[in-house]
Amino acid sequence: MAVQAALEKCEQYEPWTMEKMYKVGGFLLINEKAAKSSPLYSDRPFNSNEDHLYKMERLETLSGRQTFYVDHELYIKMGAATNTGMEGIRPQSKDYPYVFMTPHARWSIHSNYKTSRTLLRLQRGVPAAQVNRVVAEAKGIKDGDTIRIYNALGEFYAMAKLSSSAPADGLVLEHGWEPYMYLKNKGHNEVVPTALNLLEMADGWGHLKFGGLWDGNQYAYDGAVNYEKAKDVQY
Amino acid sequence: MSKRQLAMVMDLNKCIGCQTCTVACKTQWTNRNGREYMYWNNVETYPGTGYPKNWMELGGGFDAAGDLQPGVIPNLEADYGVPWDYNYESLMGGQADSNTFHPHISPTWGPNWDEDEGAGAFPQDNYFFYLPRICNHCTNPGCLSACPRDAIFKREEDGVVLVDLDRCQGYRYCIAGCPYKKIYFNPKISKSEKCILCFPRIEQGLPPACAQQCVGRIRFVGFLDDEESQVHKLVHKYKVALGLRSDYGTQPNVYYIPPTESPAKFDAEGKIIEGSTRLPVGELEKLFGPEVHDAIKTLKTEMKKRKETGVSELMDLLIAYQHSDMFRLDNNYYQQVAKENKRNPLAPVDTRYIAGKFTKAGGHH
Repeated sequence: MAVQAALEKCEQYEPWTMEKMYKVGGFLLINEKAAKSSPLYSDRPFNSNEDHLYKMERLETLSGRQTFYVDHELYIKMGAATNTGMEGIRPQSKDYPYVFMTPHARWSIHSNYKTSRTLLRLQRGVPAAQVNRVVAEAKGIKDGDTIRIYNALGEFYAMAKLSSSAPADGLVLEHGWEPYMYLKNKGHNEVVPTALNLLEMADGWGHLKFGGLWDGNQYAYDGAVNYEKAKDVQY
Repeated sequence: MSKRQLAMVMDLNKCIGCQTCTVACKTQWTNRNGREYMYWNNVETYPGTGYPKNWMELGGGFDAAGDLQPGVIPNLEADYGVPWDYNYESLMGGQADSNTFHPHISPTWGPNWDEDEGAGAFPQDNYFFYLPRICNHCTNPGCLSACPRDAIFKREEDGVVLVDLDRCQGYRYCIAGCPYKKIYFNPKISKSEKCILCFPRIEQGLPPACAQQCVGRIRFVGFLDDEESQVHKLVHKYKVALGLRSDYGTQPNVYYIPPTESPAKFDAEGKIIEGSTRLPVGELEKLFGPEVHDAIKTLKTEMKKRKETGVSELMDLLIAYQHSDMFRLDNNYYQQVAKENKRNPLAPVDTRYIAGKFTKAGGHH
C-alpha cells in the first residue's frame, strides 16, 4: 500500500506502475526529477552539488552559502553563533558515568545493509560495544561477554569488545542496528533521551525555518549510561 | 623457482580496514560449496590475534637450515569461527516482538573478531593498524613442501601457487606447513583450497578482485622482473616494500609498505610528546624484519623531498593518482605462453586447477 501511494504521489516515479514493476522483477527506475543538487544523467554517475559548483545556484541556507555564523538572538544567547565545542548536556551523575557514543557504522548507511550476513560475519554478528579494556576488566567483564547498558530511561544488551581505543568514560557502539537485532528487542535508543535542541526553536521552529534538508536538531551524546555484565541473558 | 613471479604490494599507510577486498574475494570465490568459513583474503587489526586465531604461533615454514617446521591445524570453531547464519524468515511475518533476529549459534570467533581493539591505553598511547592478508604465493611455499601427494604446484609462467584438486587427498599437511595459515581445508570435498590470485582475471590482464575493488588504493600488482612495474620499483628499486614474517623462510611475494605515519603520544596532562610515535618500531621489526628501519628512512626522506621540492617518483607511485596506474599486467604474455605450450590462447593457460573443479571427495586412492 505504501508503495502504491508513493507511485501515485511522487512525480519522481513516473511513469511506473505496480504492474510494470512486477514485470521487470520488482524495481523501478527513477526519472530525472529525482535528483537534487545535480542533474541525473542516464549515462554517467551522479555527482552531487554540480548545480552549486557550475551553475552557481544558492544552497538551501539563509545566506545561500555554507553557513558558519548565525546571528539570531537565540544562537547568540546560547553561545552557538558559530560552531563551538561544548560540554554535553547529559547528567553528570555518578550512577551513569559513561557517555554513550554511536558513531556511523563502517559499512552501513544507517540501518541499510545492517542485516547482511556477509558483513555481519565480519564483525561479531550481534550488536557489539567497544568498552575501555581497563574499566571493563575492573567490572569483571571479559571480551565477548554480554553486557547490560542502562540508565534511568531504560536498558539494552550488547556484546562487549574490550578495546584500547575506547575512552575510560565512554562506550562506543556503531549506529544503525535495528531493535529486532538486539536481545529482548530492546534497541540502543532505549537509553537515549533525544532531547530537542533549543536552537531548533529559533524563529519559531525548524532550524531557522524548515528547508529541504531539515531533519530536526538534537544534542549529540546526550546519553549518560552505566554498564555491567548481564546476569541472565547472553548473545 | 618459476620463470617469472607475480607480486602484490600493499601500502599499509592507506588501508582503512573497510574489508571491501574481503567481500570482493568472498563473493567471487568463497561464499559457497564448503568454502563459507574460508577467507582467502582477510583484513585483521594489528596488534591482535588475527585470523585464524594466533596464526603467527601455529608453526610451519622453514628453519635456518631449510627444514620444514611442524605446525598446527587450526580448529574450525575455536580458531576460524563457525560462519553463523540468521533467521531471516522471522522478519517476514511481522512477529518481531516474539522472535528476535539472531545468529543460529552464539558467535564465539570470526575473521575480524578483534577489529579496532589494538593495544596501549586511551588516549596516551593506544594504537592499531590494519593488516590485509592473502596467500603470499611464496617462492618456497611451506604448503607445497609439506604435501606428500605433490598436489600443490607453482606455475612456471607467473609463480602463482595452486592446488591440483585431482591429486589432493585432503591430508592437510599443507595447512600445518603454511606459516601464514592461508590454505584451508574444504570439508565438503575433503580437499585443500586457497587463494588463486584470481588467475583467470590475471590472464586477461585484469588485477585480482581484492586489488581491483580496494577503495584505499593500497594494492599494486605486477611482475617482479618487469623493471617498469610498480611492484619492481617498490620492492627492488626503493626497497620500501617488505615481506611479512620473512623469517618463516618461505620467501613471500606479497610485500607491504610499513605504516610509517602514526600520531604522537600524549603525556599524563594530555600534551603531545614531541617526536614520539604511537606505533612501536619494534612491532614493525617483528613483522617485516630489520630492513624496516631502512624502509621507514627512505619513506620519510622521500616524503620530505616531495614537500620541499615537489618531486618524488616514490611518493607519486604511492599516491597512485590513477587506479589503473597501480597494475601492470599483460594478457598478451599469457597468450604467448599458451601458444608456446600449444594450448588454446583464449582458455586459462593452466589446465590442472580447472580440471579438478568437479572432483568429488575420495577420487584417487
